[in-house]
Amino acid sequence: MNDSLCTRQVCFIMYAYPVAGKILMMPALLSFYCKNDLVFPAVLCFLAQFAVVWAVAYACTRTQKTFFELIGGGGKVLKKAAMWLFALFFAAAALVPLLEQKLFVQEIFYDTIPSLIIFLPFFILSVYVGSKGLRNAGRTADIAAPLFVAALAALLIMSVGESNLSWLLPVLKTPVGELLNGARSALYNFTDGAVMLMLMGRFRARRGDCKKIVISYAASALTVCAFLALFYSIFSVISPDQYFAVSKMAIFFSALSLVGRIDLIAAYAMEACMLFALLLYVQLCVTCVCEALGKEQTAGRNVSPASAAASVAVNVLLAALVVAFNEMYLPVQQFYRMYMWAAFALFSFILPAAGAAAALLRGMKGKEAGREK
Amino acid sequence: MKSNALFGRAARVLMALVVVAMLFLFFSNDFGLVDIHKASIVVAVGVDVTDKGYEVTAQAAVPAPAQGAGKASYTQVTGSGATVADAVDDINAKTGFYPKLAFCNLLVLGESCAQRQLFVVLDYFYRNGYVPLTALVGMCRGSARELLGKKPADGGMSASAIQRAMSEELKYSANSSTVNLKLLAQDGGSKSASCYMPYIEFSEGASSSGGKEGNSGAGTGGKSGQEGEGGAAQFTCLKTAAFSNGVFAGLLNEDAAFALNLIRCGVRYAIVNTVYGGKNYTVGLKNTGGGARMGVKGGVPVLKLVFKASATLQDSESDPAAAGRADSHVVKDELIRSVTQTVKERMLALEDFCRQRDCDLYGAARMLYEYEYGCFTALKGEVLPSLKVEYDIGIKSVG
Repeated sequence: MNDSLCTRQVCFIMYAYPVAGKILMMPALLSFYCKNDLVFPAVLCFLAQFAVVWAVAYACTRTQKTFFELIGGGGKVLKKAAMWLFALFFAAAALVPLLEQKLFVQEIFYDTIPSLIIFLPFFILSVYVGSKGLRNAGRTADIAAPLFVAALAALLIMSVGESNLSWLLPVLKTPVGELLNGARSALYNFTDGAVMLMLMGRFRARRGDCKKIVISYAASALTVCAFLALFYSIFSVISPDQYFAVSKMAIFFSALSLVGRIDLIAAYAMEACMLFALLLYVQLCVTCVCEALGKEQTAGRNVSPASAAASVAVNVLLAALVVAFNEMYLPVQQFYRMYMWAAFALFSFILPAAGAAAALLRGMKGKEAGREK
Repeated sequence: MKSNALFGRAARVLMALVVVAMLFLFFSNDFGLVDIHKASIVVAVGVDVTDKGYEVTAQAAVPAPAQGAGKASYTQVTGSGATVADAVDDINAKTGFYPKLAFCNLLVLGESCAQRQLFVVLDYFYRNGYVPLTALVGMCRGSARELLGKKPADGGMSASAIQRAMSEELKYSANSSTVNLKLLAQDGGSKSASCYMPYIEFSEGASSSGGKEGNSGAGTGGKSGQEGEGGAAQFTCLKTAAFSNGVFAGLLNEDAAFALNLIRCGVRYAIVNTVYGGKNYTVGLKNTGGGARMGVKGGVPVLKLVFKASATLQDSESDPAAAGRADSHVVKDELIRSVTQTVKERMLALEDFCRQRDCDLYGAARMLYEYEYGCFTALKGEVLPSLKVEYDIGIKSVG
């Protein structure tokens, strides 16, 4: 048992970060595949992911062990392989959001297209935060989540006047194949099951905590679905071309023509939260690497050299990929949509469900053993 | 433990060095971002079609340093090219200014653009991520270059005067069919495939600077181009240009445009002049509620156009309020009938236009697709020929 986090922080992470990671490009992507029915593939993915998150959260109340401790019984090789594979998965999961963040920052912070060097200082922060471990992730969530909620609420309030919900009609006339294709294409945005699995055993789950986490995640799903509906009811047929909807939805608010782009203050606040949502992948990746190496992330209050080295290595890898794919966002996204969905299905849906099942089985066995004694 | 402390100290020093390096980069050349002296903030763009392609006229505010007071604070430049983007690049080449379109709030299409597919002409503005979708769009009589070159009565930028003629206030009083880039694309891309925009006209009146119209005090409003124009221009957008499948379908006259605005623009207050008993009466319509409802009766799509309002008498040739009446604002029943008939005639003018030009400005096909999907598919999208239009106009006098 490693008490890195408290339940409140887990709830914040499971509410704000899933929303932050899905409202940048997913609305345009889903509207391309499913047009006015864009909410339904998201609902499909969320239902599956919700079941996984619920199972893992429930398992958290039955065991105090981390996922890697749980599979330790299967042998050292299996444990190490799982650690390295999850590290690779989180690094891969960070790549597309990184490229999206780069484009988003370039679009909302600058009037012209700046050079890549503008974005690279992000990796200085990423190296620092990545090495700090999950305790740091919880603390940043404490600040980022309330800020995110306030900023999102402000943007939604400014946007809602321009919406016309009739654009969402007729409901469910898109062929099922296209809805499923949309869901598959959006799957690379769903890492919440894997994140919850990594948080297992890192906070002391008490009775009722499962409910809190599940409600947080359900609220997150509702927020994303409402955002998608609002997005399409504002942009309708031109939705597929509206990347970075967060910075565009509120521009029709009539007061902005008088007071200027105050909506960008909210967009900047959300951007800060999105960065920390992205950094969570780096932190989880570094955590997995450190566990695979059998090293502690912190020594007292200091970051251990192993953690720092792992963070530098992970960030150098990600920075190299960002530089290599600087002008290739769409091909990378297409690769993720076409091929990487299977990896996300495995690591975010299947393995967390299996991990939860293993934890529950172990819990039941432990109880039976206790009764026999 | 000792090595950890050493490591922490080294990390702090490294971090400080990185921060200093970043600050140096930032303050040395602002990461190579655009120099304010070489930037021009484009506030309006005009597009004309020529034999060789396109001619783009940009009206730009040029940021000037404080010591440059008295220099022109805006300018108008025209570039030409095979495409709109090519013409914008030509402006850059001619002036050395980097045209920033993030503040471009007005797009004017010259009459010549009617020859081309609308969304081909506007393609650059939808592709360019920096042009806001809130930019107003209008078509003008003559060339856009000439229109933007006109000097308005206040001596300021013509772009500002044109925007006022297409403002939300005029939209809500049914005097302009104001649309922006977003609404245009939505209408054009919907099942109705029809869209509209205000048709900008100008008339030249008194001289602008020091004339009887006065000058609003825009002292820095000098202009590098189009000097020496005669009178001050007044801009109006009472007519509306209509497009069907991206092709120019024709101009709605003032009556039909008024009816379109009642249905589509969320009008809050409108003025209607009607002739009754050979005399002119002007009636103000407030608390208005206009719109269209789609239904199906016996397999036939039925569009019900609804307009409700409370009327007050604003002006009368026959019954002056100065004669001393307590109910001078009340509109008599026979006058209400006359106003209702006037509004209906305007709506019929709009219906005639839509049927003759096969231009679904009501958005009937879109509504049928949304609310009566079965009927829409049965008609295979051919909604307008089989559409039955009903009117429900309810105007009552205020008490």
